[in-house]
Formats: sequence, C-alpha cells, structure tokens
Amino acid sequence: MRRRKGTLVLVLCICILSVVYLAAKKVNPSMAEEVTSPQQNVAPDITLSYLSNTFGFSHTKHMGIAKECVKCHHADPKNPQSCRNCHQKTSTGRIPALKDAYHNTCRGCHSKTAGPTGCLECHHQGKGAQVKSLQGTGPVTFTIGDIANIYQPVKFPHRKHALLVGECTTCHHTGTPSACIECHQKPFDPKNLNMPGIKGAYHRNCLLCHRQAKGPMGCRECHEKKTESKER
Amino acid sequence: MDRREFLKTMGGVVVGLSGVAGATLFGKVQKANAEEHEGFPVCKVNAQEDFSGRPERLGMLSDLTLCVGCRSCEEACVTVNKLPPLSPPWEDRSVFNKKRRPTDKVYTVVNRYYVEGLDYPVYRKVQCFHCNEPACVSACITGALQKSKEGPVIYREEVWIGCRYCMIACPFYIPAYEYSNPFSPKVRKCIMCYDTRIKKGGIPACAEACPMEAITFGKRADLLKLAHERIAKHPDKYVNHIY
Repeated sequence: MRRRKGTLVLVLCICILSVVYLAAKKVNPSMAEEVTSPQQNVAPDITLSYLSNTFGFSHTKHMGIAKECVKCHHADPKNPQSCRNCHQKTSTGRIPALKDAYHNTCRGCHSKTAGPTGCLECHHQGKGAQVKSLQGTGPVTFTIGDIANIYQPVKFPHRKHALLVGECTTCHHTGTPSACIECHQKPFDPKNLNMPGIKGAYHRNCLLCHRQAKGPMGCRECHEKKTESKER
Repeated sequence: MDRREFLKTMGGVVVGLSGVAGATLFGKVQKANAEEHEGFPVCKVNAQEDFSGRPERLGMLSDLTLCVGCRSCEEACVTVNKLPPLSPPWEDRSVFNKKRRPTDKVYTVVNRYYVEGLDYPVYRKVQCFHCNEPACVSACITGALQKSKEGPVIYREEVWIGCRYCMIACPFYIPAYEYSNPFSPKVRKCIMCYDTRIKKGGIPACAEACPMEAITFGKRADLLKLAHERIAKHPDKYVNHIY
C-alpha cells in the first residue's frame, strides 16, 4: 500500500511538471526554436515593405544561390549596414539612389542567372506593391488642367493595364518611370522633332496599342465631356 | 511642219511659260520692273534662281500610320480661320462614308481608307501641300498666290480677280471657290496659319491640335530627316516614299 502511494505521487509530479512545461511553451514559443535554429546569424526571410506580401524576397534562398554575402552586400557580412545609410532617395555624388542600388543588384544578377527581371514579377499584386496606382482595383484618374473645364478626368485602370501587358517598359521608357512632362513638352518643340510633345506621347502610347488590341479608340471613351460644358 | 518639229516648238513654249511662272513667284519684283510696251505692261522674265528653295523653310509632315481620324485638325482649322462650324460635327463618323476635298468652308479634311492586309482603317488628312514649286502660283496671273519665304503658299486678297486658274492648275484639288458668295467670291485654301501663327513663331492650329502628333511641324529639312528615320526604323509600317 505504501509503495502504491509513492508511485501515485510520482505520477502526479510528472503530470504537474508537464502541464507547467507546456504552459510555459505556449507563452514563449521561442523556447522550442532555440533548439532547432542552427544559424542564428542569418537574417530571416524578409518582406520588403514595397514588395508584394505574396512575393516576398527569400533571403535564405538567395544565400544558397549566391553563397557569398559580398555578392550583394558591399562588405563586412557579419555587420551589414542598412542600405539607406548611404543610398538615399536620389543619387548623391557617385553613390546611386537607393532605388537604383536595389534594382541594379537584383536585376543585374537576374539577367545573368535567368532570374525574374520583369517589373511586375517583384512589384505586382497585393497591398504592398510600390506603385500606388498598382494597389487596389479601381482606376486612377488624371485631370488634364488645360481642358478640365470641358472634360472629366481621364479614368485609367493602371493596375489592369500593368497586369495585361506585364511589363512597365511597354508603356514607360524605363522600368523606373519618371514624370513624362520632364521631357515631353507642351506643345511639341518644332526644333526638337524627335521628342514628341506630351499630348502626342500619351495618345500614341494608348491609341497605337488600342488599335492593335482593339481597345477603345473613340475620344469620348477616355475623355468624357462634362455635362454642363457646351464647348468641344 | 512635221510632228517632231511641232513638238519641239511646243516644248519651247512650255519652257517659256515656266519662265513666266518663275517670275510670278516674285510679284513685287515684277511690279517694280514693269515697263510699258505697245501699251501693255511687260515684266522681266526671270526663271527662279534658287530652284531648291530656301533651306530654312517650314513644312508639315503628316504621318498616316499615326492618324486615328479624330478630326481634331478640321475642328482646329475652322476655329482658327473663323470658318462656319463643321458640318457634320467632328464627332459624326458618318462623314467618312464619302471622300471629301477641302472646300471654302473647311481647308482641312480627313478621309478614311480601308487598306488590304490592315484590320484598321487608315486616315489621310487632305490639305494644301505647300508645294516646292506650286502649280497654283505658276498659274496665277495676278501674283495673288505666292510661295512665302517661310514656306507656306499664301494669297493676297487685294490682287485677287477670281480667274480660278489656280483651281485648274492644282493637281490635288486644293483651292476652293466661294460659289456660295455671288458678289465677292474668293478662292480659299490652307495657308498654314501664316498670318495668325507662323509669323508670330507659332505652330499651325492643326499640328497643335492633333492628339497623335500625326501632323508635325518644323523645318522642312528636319521633317524629311525625321520621315526618313521613321521609314528606316519601321520599314514594315511605311511605303518607302515621302509624298
């Protein structure tokens, strides 16, 4: 009888201990991971804020491919600095802009290793896409100052077009577009005929593609007239 | 006189006429040099010395691969030249059902063509070509039509007599007569917005209005270069000829 009592106490103790352990594990799950993570220095897979949540950048995967940290980072892999420390929004001196530094690193390697190079392969869907007009589903609207009193703003579903053509460069000169008006003048410059004016640049971009792809070609289909305006 | 000799003589006449035509290009010179001979004014007959024209002269390039037939040029033309509103209005596509030519009511018209092998129509703007050696200027007996030094073929209403020789001479049916105006009819045609815009360093209304910039305006030499570049870049899109 006394022996039985001793066994019962032992079983109870084991039970209590396991309950305490499990409870502790639930509160602090890292307890379990501590044992399983062999490489504590490795940065985890990251999701850059401006990349799609569903298309995160897998750092682990890239480490396996690149093998050496310096392939992407400048030096001192044990103490990598934030890119932003030196690369700013615009290029300063010989230091390229942050945007260019990222793009050159990724696309430069991808173009050699047959990795994805298309803009939308990284910046595409999801709420994290960098370009605001690629977010959400609704169209973006452009108000054309000169004719705003006659016409309603142009509704342009940028996201729909981006996914349809797949490449930013189908419409924009480079993958990192800048404002069209920076180069395309209003009206065109007769002394610089190789540079279409802003009106020509827009309409050629849209209508030459629409003509092929049987998209809307009529003036009113993009430029809806304001009801109160009697002008053309 | 056999046939050969007759033709030779006729050839001489034609050359002579073109000499006169050259002189009419410079109406002012003609006037200054006018002399009397047997009661009739006689002009010095000088062939145009600079046959290639002025290298700096302006022109317009119309690229048919870009035109989408919106008729913005027509609308701009009637607005700038204070002509009656377009009839039918610019939005009415039925206007393309028949081929049109410029009239005294609109100096720029757009026609539609269906081309074999293309699944979309081609539109062509019809307007004065402002020829290098304009037949209308050659035919004009009063020197009312002139090739301006800037390039546009212009007319001076004050010496207009309404003979309509220019209408016969023009191979493109451009000059149009105001048949609806019985008392003081004029011949009307595009003058490339010479008075209203070009003289002030501006761009012709049609070129400015064209949303596709299918109509480009600039120095003729630059335009030719641009046209050659476009043809070279897209030989499949263009007929290798600048009209």
